[in-house]
Amino acid sequence: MRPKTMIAVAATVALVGGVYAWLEYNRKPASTSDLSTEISISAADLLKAFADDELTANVRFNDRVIEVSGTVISSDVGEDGRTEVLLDTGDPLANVSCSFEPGTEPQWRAGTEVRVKGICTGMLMDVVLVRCTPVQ
Amino acid sequence: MKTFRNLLLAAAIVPLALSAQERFGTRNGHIAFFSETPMENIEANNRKVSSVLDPNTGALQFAVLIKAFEFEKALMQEHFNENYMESNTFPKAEFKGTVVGLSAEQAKKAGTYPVTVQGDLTIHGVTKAVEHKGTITVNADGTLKAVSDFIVKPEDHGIKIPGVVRKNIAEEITVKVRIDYTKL
Repeated sequence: MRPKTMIAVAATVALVGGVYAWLEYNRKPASTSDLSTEISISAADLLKAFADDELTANVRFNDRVIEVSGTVISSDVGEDGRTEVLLDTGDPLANVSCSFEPGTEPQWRAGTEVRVKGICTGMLMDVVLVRCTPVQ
Repeated sequence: MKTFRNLLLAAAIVPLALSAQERFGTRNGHIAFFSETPMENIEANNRKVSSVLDPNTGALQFAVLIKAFEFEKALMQEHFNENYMESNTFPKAEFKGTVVGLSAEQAKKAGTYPVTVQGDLTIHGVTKAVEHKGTITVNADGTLKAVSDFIVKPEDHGIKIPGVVRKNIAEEITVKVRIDYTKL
């Protein structure tokens, strides 16, 4: 291979690598609405899974895109404009808590049957889903 | 973490007639952290902080899920969880302690009170005794707002930063706590 050709190939590889690195560095978290559902489950069953065996549930659900069905207990907009929805599980002390992505705020009332897609992050008082989006 | 649920359970079953035993809590507290270096600034926000405050005893407890911290850039969030916080192994951070400077009577009287928070902070499975300043504002509607800014050093909690990114991550991380409490 000629020196000029080698330089051209090296420059091209460096340019492509640099562009890839720049794009990867600046990559935003994907919108949940663009991600495929990995697990569908009811709010009651999701809480039960964590209550029965939290370690196993962490492995099964955390970081997964899950679609949860349930009844809205409350829907509130926080100071930062994000909608926070609690789904009933049948347990008065523990719910499924859903924090919605900006721009995807649902207009839900208490008692409405809904489906929510979000990223499961584990359980504190509630099972917590972030980056949620409503499922039509 | 069962202790945390038990505390909440205890708060819920206390008869309302015992107004002196009022406790405050939230499921949607906000904790943010900032790392500032000449190379880059990193910010993450967690809006799903659970906390319970009992002004009668001064007991304060809060917990956060590490995976619920949200970053502007996906790569930062991946490195934070996988390389530094090891959130599959240590999924939660927790604080258990007391608030000094807010009496049960003050918690019923509107105003802003300087407080000191003392207790044990567990991050990355490593518990460290801490003491930080902050304020608690008692609002006219009876809700409380707790504010505190403090510094956490990753090395204090056994968090190892690889040499290749050492200059990208500050040795002292600024943590900002903003928690709105309502009566339980």
